[in-house]
Amino acid sequence: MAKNLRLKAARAKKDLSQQQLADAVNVTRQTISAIERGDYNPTINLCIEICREFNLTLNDLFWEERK
Amino acid sequence: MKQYDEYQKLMRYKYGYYSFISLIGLIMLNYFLGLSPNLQWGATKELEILIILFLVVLFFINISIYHHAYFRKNDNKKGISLLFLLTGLFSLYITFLIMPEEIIIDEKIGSGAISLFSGLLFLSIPITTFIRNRIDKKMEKKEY
Repeated sequence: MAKNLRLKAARAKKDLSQQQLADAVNVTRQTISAIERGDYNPTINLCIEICREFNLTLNDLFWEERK
Repeated sequence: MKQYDEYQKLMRYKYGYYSFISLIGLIMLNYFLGLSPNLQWGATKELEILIILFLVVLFFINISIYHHAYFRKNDNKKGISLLFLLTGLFSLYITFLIMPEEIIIDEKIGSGAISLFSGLLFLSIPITTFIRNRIDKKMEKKEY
């Protein structure tokens, strides 16, 4: 799975640490880290929670165009 | 399981499944070893099963810790690890100072091994937590 650099960028733009984002969406910091590294594919519910936190859409953060 | 997040649950299911398969495999292996009278390694059959269980639980707990799926989000990791460290040391103290002769009886593993294995199990928790924390700190430095 590819790294989720868009999530990392959105987090950096909002100046949030992994821990702060994890607390906001009620998961552990390691879960956010695993998503950013591309080691874990989150459920749609968690994706929505994360998107709401950044005021972005699922497309903005998680949609991958076919190569 | 409610207090674990979805990634932790996934890891627990995954390694719980591996542990279950390992348990079945080890019990089967032990059964075939037991068909030969010279290959009984435990003082009793029940003890053999108990030690196999200890091994599988040891595997599950440590692999869960390594994948951040043992402690819940709001658990006090340091406090719990310290408690396990003290319990483990106390258990090993009892094993080696009070009943060391009960670990091996007539070249077979005796009932003292239960105390030994439980001590090792408790001790493994703070050790694995410490190792994982060190790895995390290195990874954090790389990520930022």
